[in-house]
Amino acid sequence: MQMQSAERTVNASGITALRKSRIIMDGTAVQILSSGIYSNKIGSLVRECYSNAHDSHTSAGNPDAPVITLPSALDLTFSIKDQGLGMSLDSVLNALDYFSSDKRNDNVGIGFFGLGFKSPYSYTDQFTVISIHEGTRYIVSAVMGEDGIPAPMLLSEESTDEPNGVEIRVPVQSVDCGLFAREVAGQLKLFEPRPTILGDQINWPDTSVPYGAVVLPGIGHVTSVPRYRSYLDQLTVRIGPVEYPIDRNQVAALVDPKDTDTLAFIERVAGCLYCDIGDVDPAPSREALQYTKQSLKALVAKIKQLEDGYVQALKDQLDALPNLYEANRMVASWQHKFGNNPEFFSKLTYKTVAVEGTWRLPTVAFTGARMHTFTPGSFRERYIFNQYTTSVIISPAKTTAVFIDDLPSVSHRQGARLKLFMESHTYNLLVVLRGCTLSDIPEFTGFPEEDVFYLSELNPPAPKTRAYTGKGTQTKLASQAYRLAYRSMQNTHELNCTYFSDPCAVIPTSGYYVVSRNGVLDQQTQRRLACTDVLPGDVYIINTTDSRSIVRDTPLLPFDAAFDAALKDQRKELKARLVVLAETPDIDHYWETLFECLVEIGVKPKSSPKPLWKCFNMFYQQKDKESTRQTMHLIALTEFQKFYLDKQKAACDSVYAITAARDASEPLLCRLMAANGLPYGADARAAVVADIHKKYFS
Amino acid sequence: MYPYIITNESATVVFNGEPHTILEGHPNYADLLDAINDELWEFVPELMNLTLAVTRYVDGKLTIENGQVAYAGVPLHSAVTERLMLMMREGLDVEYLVNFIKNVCENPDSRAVSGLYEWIEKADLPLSKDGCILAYKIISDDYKDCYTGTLDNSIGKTVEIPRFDCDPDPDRTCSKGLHFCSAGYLPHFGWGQTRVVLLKINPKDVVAFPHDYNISKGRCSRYEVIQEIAPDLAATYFRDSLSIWEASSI
Repeated sequence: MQMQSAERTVNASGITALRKSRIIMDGTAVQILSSGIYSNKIGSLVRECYSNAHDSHTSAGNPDAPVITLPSALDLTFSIKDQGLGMSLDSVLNALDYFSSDKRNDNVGIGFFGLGFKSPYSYTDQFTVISIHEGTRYIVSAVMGEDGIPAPMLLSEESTDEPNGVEIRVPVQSVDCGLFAREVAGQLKLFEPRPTILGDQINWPDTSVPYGAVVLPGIGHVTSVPRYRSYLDQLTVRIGPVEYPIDRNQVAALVDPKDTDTLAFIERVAGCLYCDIGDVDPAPSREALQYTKQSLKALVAKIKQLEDGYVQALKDQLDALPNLYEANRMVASWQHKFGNNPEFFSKLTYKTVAVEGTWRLPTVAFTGARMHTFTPGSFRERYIFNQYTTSVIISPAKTTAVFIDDLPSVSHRQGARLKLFMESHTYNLLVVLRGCTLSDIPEFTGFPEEDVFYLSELNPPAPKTRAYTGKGTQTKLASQAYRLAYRSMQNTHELNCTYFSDPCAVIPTSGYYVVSRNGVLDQQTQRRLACTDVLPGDVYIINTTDSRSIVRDTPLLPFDAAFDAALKDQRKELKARLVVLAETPDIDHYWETLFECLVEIGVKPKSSPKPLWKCFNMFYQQKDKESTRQTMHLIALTEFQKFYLDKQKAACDSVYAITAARDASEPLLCRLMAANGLPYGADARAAVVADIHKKYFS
Repeated sequence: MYPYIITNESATVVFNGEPHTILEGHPNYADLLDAINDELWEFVPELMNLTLAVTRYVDGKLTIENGQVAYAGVPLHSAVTERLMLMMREGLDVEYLVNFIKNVCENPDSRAVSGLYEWIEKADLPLSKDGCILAYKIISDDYKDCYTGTLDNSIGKTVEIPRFDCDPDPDRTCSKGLHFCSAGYLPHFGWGQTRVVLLKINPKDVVAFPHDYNISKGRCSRYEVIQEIAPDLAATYFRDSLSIWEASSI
């Protein structure tokens, strides 16, 4: 190993005397160098001696691992034997000198300090070196002399035909046998190849990268970047086969204080840096690092590489996901695992879009199986207060439905609607999103739009039966209206609408027109449209802020100056309601309103013809609804004709026009014509309308 | 005479061309120094190399491989080595241990085998001459077992249940099987029972040693009731009356 050191120059003048300081090599110095520097004596001697054997095999090109014999109750000797280059007697004696190393010229070997060979002195005052070199076997006893200074003694020198190699034998106390085995496992776990073990068995610890960690080859791996780091979340550096802990404070001191991102990363990251031998200087004991400027610079550079690489790796993981919603969920899972670390997670993007994690998305997710266990009350509680969950993985499966919660308040009983839906469908997962629009869904979830539903589209729960006693007509009418709306919603079906957003667009002269004054259809209108039997393509939605400029000449909305005046006149509110009714061809609502209109213009129930009253009565009682409607329609129109011709003709001009237009109520016509097997195209309908008009209004 | 180096803490002697170093804590360290002082060189190899001594002691009934005692080529648990060394030091017959190992080899459950080795390491109870372990059992005043009150544990009786009716899971502390314990467990048994009997259990009949209580209790499918011991004497009975390493009279 080569240490990083700068050339040193000293310029001095006016010096009268010069004396170089010396190293006093006495027993105390030897004790410090051979034992005092090591806090873990056994671990150090295992690591240092095996490092020498490992280096020797590397130098000799021997791919095999050195052999370690563990001590046992019968043989209290720890032995490391290599078959590397071997050492001559002089080499052995030199190696037993302090600060003598032949590995300072390259970064191939681990050794540098010239101390490791003497590390057994930290455990015992006597150990044996057996070296076989060029056919001669030397047995040298490394003995701590009486003055505390090692005095190696040659015990034997004989010729041999064994291959070159060195064996270190260290006597062991019987109580330390297990400790040696444990230190071998702990200190040598990263060496490649691992030593061949004789004697007791070794339980090698798992050295693989922790599950879920991000590995950056040549840089390091990151286990996590937690919000609150525990003592287990260590940052280490691996130099060759030896791993050292990093003192974060030492490294952070070298970082620019303005670089808060890197400082936060250093403070929180748990992982390991991979450094080559020589990049960073270890302490002589190899139990820690030397935090020299060069080492710190190298560590900071490595940490920045690790940070950039880690962020990029996470971004790549996110980009590989199918949509932004999945990316948010992934980030949320990381936040759940590591804690919310805003400085770090703010760097993450999904295809350049910032990802904040679904924990901020107002999302409710639950499985269908669970759904059935909910009572409406408990589900509502969960729905309201648990606005998100990360326990359900959303996959773009066809059995999944997405719902957009567009109901204004909980009083609309969202949970009850979903429960009704679950009871009649096979979807196994429901996801309710708030704050989304239909156009957001594909981006968020990856679901096509046809799998997405508005909660307002779902059937509301059945109205409760009430006894209307003493609560007034208004309450009763409201209840009836709700019942009608509820029943009409039983017949929901898909509705294709054509939108006109261009005020100058050419409007077809046939079909249904609904004015949207704010750019989108209000939910009530959507619901009413969905409740009709209009055919696909028959409804046009005119998107404008000035409805008069478009709807003036359309068949269903004959707005004129009288209508404008009526809007301003509260007393003519009823007419305005009829106009609105024409906009939203809800059959039930139409009849309900028509009934009120008749009452308003003087056709009182008591004074009206009995057939008409009977029809209304039947209608409300839901008896023979279809035939009643047809009959009632004709009778009502007749009543209007009489009224129009005989009494208040001038005042009812607009009503007549509306009713005449309503007479072309194509949904009803279509349904009737289709039910009777007649063609119900636009021409056929126009012919029928003309016929009705001629019959009743000419 | 062999070349040697003796320091305050260690001694190195070279014989047969190999250096041997032992530390002060070695069981033969003092004897070695005496032998060197008295120049009794013929004793030095066996004092320093325990493998030589043990090899001679086991007399071929067991083998030594890489510092581990082996039977039929299979290295045995370190507890066997420890026990062997103690018995050798006491001058006891190795036959007890060999018979024990033979019986252990007949046990079909590897977890029970592992537990048996830990038992002889921790229980401080002797082995019988035919290789059985000794253990204690607490019984009721009428010599019936405490749990069912139906099994007769009178002196000389052999109690047996089918092995398949015993629970071999060491993670279940209290489960089906005939229970026994070491002296260390006796204080934990607080049912107010007054009789303690000594059992002789063949290792092949041992089913499990629950992990709780530090291997101080176990379950077996068969045992023989040897004798009754006063509860307050159980902890020290074998230390005071017999060798703890071998029950020569049983």
